Amino acid sequence: MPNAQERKKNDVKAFWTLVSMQWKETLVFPIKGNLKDVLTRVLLYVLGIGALTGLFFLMFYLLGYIGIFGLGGKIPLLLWNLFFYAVLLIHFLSSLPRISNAMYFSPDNPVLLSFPVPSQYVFFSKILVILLRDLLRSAFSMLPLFIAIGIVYLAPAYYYFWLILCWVIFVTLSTALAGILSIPYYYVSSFLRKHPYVKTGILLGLLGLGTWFLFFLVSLMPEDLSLVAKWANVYYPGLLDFAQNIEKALTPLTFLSRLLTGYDPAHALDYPSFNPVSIASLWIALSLLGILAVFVLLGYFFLRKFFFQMASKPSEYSKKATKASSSKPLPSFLSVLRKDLLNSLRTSETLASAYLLVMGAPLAILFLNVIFQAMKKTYAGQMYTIVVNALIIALILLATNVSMASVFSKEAHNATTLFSDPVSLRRSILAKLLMRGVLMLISIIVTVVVYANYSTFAFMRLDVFFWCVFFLFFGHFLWSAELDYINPRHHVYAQSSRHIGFNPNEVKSSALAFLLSFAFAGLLFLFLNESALTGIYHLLVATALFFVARVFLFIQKVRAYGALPFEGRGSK
Amino acid sequence: MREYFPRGVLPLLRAGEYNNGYMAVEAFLYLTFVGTFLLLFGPFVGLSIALRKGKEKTLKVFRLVLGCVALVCLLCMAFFVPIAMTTKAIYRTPQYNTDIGCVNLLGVPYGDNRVGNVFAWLNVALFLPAAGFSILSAIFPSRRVAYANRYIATPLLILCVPFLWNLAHAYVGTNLSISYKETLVAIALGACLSSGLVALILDRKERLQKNSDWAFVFAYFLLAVFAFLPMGTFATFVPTDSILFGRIQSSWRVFEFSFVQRLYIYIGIAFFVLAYFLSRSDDLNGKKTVLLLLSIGAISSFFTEYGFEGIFDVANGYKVMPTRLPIHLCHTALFVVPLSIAFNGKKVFYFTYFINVFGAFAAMVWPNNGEYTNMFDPSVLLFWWNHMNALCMPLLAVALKVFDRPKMKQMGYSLAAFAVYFVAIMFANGYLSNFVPGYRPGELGSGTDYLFINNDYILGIFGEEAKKMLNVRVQFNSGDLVLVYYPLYQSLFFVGYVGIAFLMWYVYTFFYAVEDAHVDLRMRLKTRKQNALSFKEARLMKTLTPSEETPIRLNFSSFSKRYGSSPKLSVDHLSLCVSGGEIFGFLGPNGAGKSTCIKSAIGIQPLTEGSIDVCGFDITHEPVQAKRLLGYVPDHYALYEKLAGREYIGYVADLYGVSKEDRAERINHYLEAFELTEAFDARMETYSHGMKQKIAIMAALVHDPKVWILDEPLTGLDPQSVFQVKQAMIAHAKKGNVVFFSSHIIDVVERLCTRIAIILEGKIVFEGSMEEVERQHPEGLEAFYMSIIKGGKGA
Repeated sequence: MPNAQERKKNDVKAFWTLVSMQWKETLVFPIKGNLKDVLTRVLLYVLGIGALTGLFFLMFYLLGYIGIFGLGGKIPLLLWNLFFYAVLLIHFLSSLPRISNAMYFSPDNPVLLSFPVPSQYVFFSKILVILLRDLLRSAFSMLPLFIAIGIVYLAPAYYYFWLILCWVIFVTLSTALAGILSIPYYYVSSFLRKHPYVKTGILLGLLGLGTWFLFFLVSLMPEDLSLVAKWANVYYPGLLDFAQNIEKALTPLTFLSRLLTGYDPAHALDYPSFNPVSIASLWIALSLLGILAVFVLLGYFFLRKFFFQMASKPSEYSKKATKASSSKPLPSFLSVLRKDLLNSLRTSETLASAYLLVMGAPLAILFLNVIFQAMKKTYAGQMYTIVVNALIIALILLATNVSMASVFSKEAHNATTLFSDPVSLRRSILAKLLMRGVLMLISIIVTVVVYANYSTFAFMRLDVFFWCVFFLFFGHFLWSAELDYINPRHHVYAQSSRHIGFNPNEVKSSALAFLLSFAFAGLLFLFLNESALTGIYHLLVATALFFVARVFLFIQKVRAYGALPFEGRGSK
Repeated sequence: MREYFPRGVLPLLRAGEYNNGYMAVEAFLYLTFVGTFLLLFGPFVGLSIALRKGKEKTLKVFRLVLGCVALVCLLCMAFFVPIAMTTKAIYRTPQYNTDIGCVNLLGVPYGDNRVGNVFAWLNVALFLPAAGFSILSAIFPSRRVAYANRYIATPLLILCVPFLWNLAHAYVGTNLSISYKETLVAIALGACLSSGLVALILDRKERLQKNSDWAFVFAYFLLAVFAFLPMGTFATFVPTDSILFGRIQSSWRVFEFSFVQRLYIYIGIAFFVLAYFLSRSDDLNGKKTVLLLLSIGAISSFFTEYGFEGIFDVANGYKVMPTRLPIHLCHTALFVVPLSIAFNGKKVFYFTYFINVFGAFAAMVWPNNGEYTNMFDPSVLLFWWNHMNALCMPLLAVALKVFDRPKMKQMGYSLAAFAVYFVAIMFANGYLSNFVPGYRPGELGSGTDYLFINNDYILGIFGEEAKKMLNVRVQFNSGDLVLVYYPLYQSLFFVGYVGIAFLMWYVYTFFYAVEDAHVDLRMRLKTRKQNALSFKEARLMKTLTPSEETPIRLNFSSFSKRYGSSPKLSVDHLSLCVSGGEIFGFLGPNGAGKSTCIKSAIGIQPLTEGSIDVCGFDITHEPVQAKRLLGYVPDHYALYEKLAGREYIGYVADLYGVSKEDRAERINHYLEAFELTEAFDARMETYSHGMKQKIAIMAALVHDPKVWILDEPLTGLDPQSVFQVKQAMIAHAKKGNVVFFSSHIIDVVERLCTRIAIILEGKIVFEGSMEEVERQHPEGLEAFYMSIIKGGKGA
């Protein structure tokens, strides 16, 4: 029998084994394995952070160079704080559901609790893995921001070491708070799961609120924007006021900013030099560590108990009696349509995404054109307005097609039903495409109608423009579906409701959406420059040819890959 | 009518109406033609008679030599005798907003005789491609080309004989005389005709494989007609222009990247894409012929501007015009491509592939036309045709697999060759500029500018600041010669061009991927079509066709399955037949091939070899009919969990076309049997594992399938559910249907099944009834199974 010391040693070893096992599941960084692979991943990670840092730096530098925030070539820390708070808030809000799922709904909980390890070690191993994962994830959002502001402000060398410590504190605090709040979050989400109509109602309500807010912003827009002329006297002071109001509302967060950069709210509008490590910041650090200690204690006493309670609870819940639905026979094509419709309507996320799909582009165009309308434009300005509108319309609409690049694979958990059904697969494909296609056609129509209300270019034929967008959109739509059809990822979706890692089809579809959008806008610019009267017809011919080519290729590939599209190709 | 009809043989019959001078020239023409023809064709006749059979190789060598001789004659004619019907001077007027009146017809053979002029032009336009075909059919024998030569080219050449006079007119102009030009025209016709006839005779046994090849033959000839079109004369005959209507369309200007310029690019690319699709299925000689036709046509057009009178100043003692040498980069492509195709010169070919293609593309996108250049100006058309050839021919040659896709080292050789060319051109510019009249050393534009490295045209694209690079200048004096160079600009030009050549590698890689995808698609479509045809034929030959009388069965016939490129077969020539009324147990360890057999039987995976039929319907070729008779319960239920049980069963019933009455009856029956009545209208996401499995079983039975396949259906079920499922299986088999199931629970198999098979490593190691098993192995199925498995693994 091992003695207490040996038992302790074994338990600690087991703890690290648990951490290592759960860490591997995150697939972020392999700990063991091919050294070359590990180093390559680390290098890519570092390069990614470097690239983002460069992007942020460029943004801050350009803003300072243009001098829109006054002379001095720097962005005031007050405004930088807005970015910082936004990043923290997003991190916190995204941590909450992630922690809740990882702690209470993770399928490995029963297995972990059955291991011969003290049960609190299971809890702490989970917490540690969550924290490490959050640190790595947030490195992409926070570190580039912190490093960029340091470069812009010519921060001293020690700042870059200080920011690592601050970053750890910020993420740990955010994760700890999210952990505590995961308890009420759990109850709320369980309630919503059992009452899906409430969830749907809340989601639709939020969407409605968002739409209303957008219309509210539109109503605030002045008739004459004169961004450049009024910037110094009207807009910039307004922006600063807004930022100061935000700061007042989020006063505790200013301490975090003070800790990192030495920011002093009393000198918010100045451009103070960086003074990250000072007596004040040390006091703040100690206070934060104290708060963290409180969170840890709370976590230990409440969260741990709650975890064990939740981890051992079954996820099933009692069935509610529902109204008996009719089983009226339908033709197979309509039956497939009905099935997909019911599936979509009964998933609140699908409803929300359907709303965004239809209304996303029109609302964006509305907002954009209200701004454009408030600007005085020359002839060239009008041309640029048209091109930017075309670009935004194309980008938003084509981005919605990315999900078509997994339209068949996502059915993977129903794959056997799909392929053992005695119906030509083409009918199933058509049913899938039809539903989505109709939805997006509505979106295109609404978008062009909204745009038509604001277009002031006399020569712009919006009926022809509609067809240009139609051809472009549906060409890419079919292309994305084709990518999934000939190279399905069903073997990945069969194991998980979402794709683990990157779905190469979705990546290709995104890249195509990007390229096609810029090509569309570029061609429109070129053709309109040549002839304002006939340019749009040239674009019509180009997009029509693209559409015809994609339809032809889609049909050929469905024929070539036949009624057995998933064989062998899903293993790539 | 007579005054419109061009001269031809008629003058010989109308001797009194024309003066003796014309008759003498005509006689000279025909004598030269006949003499050439006899000189070249005569030896062939003699050789054929002398050699008789057994010396085909000698005759083939003769035809090759004859073809080359004819080619040389044709090119000499094109070089020394430019087509007279050009109207270049007409269009270079600064005022483009008004009609410029009638075209000057001094260069046109028949004056204001429009019909005559059109006829002469047609004569040339058809003679050239016919000549091309006759030559190439002698050099590169190929089936379709032989037909084009036999039925189109040689007859056209024969038709040119009585109209030799008009041909000579078209080339030489209005004033025919006895000179080298007329001689060359007659020699060319004689040589090409003899070459065509020799090829026709030697290829007389060639036959086309299918009727559609005729369309290809005519398409080939039309391609050749377009390729050989005398571009420089095109303006004369465009309906909006000159000779037919006497006016010029002023608004179609070609400059920078205008719509008209783009139109030329589209037409050019469409032409070459068409050439690709026409010739991709031909043999290698056929492809080479098409490529050479296009090349020779381009050279023929090229000589219109860069022929003898284009390079040498005829009025000034035939001095070489220093600005008119054909040494631009794109000019090299015109000669390099046909030579490398003809002589299989890979290294030379890849030079054009990496260096010329981009240069030609850049030239098409940034043509250095004047602002008022009309789209039908001969210089525009010639520029377009030359550069489209330089751009597309190398790509076409690789696409048609006449040359392989290049490797990196070939790019290295090309860049080395480009370096040599660049240095040579640099020095040539410096040297030749001294001979340009009015040259002022250091003044841009006053000297020669080959490759655009002696001028500010390229830099002008980047703006005025970029032009300052030309301020860095080096000048050498050598006697009377002043050599001026711009080292900074010229070095950057070279480095930039080389960099772009590297980038072209990736552009090509992208296009190869597109081509491979296209080829793969074609092969798949072809394979599917062939398989469908083979199946139809096999079906016709079979006496048994699926019908009401077909026994209920599941039949594996020499079925094999290989995954991907694995060397091992997952299932190896498995043959098994399960008849109606049987409950068939399919046993085997993990990875033996059970799921493979089942998934192939229900149509999820394609078969590698053999066939599987369900009541006579082949699962590969008649999947819909076969699946209608199948019901499948997977090892892991696959349900749409947002639907209620009733909705899901209704959906499956719709897919199988189950009537309302039948589905109601069956649903009620199975609801009772599986005790699912209460939960049937709740969403399946609220069901337990056992309930979901039962729903899957119901879905597989709602259409009363003849063959019911279950893949480990009892996993995870409670004892009551297991009992219910077994009862369902027994009842289904009693109705005369097939129940085929795989399971790891040997006890259940032993009690339930009437027949079993054991599969191990893709092969059936045992098949028989349970009675046989019990008789031969009283210790029980489990012990028997373990002995089989251990014995099989040990073997």
